[in-house]
Amino acid sequence: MDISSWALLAFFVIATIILNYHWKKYEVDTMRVRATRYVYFTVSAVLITVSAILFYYASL
Amino acid sequence: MIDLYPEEKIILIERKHWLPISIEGLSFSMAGILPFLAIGIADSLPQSIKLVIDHYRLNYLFFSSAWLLVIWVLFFMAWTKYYLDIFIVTTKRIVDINQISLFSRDVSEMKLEHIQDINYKVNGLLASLMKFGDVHIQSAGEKNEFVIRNISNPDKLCEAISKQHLESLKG
Repeated sequence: MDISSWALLAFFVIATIILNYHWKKYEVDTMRVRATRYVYFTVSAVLITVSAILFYYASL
Repeated sequence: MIDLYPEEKIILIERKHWLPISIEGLSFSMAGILPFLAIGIADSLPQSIKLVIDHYRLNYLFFSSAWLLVIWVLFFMAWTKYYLDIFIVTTKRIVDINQISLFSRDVSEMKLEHIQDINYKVNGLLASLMKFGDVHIQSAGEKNEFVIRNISNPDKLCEAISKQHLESLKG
């Protein structure tokens, strides 16, 4: 469990850095990228929070 | 996105049609909700699987939400690839940016005055209804033909290129 949660976090951080780099470097439509970034980070934050809570209770 | 020459203006930016990315999105969402569906239908699953799900319910839920996060990130990678795969018509040239993967891009351009022939093909009922098709542009340059596949509104794109081509010949 411990390793998988760290692996998940590492995957998310690396993938987010890569995506953010592409959105910043090649952006064409600022409004659309801004909206995409907002949706991406909001849903990701919810999913990470839920995963963290479940991880906490599962490891009790 | 591209460096423009002095006095060059972007006329049109077109992307591939949204249908392929929507189908991809649908596949991702189905893959994402699959572990949660298993909880819903746990009663009808074999007893051994049901026992594992019941016994490790919290662990199972953790892995399901982690799986959903991975799917979410993978979908955005696919969307970014779709978003960055574009075709640009400017007052001086046409630029085809083919995003093969996140770190692999193929950028080709053609000067408007080199265009010799342009046509588009809409194949099939779905393509006709959803208004997407392939645009073929022949040139006198090194790269003889440009083929832009599954582009939205190929008729408008052809029209815009032809108009700009005529203006570039006048100018």
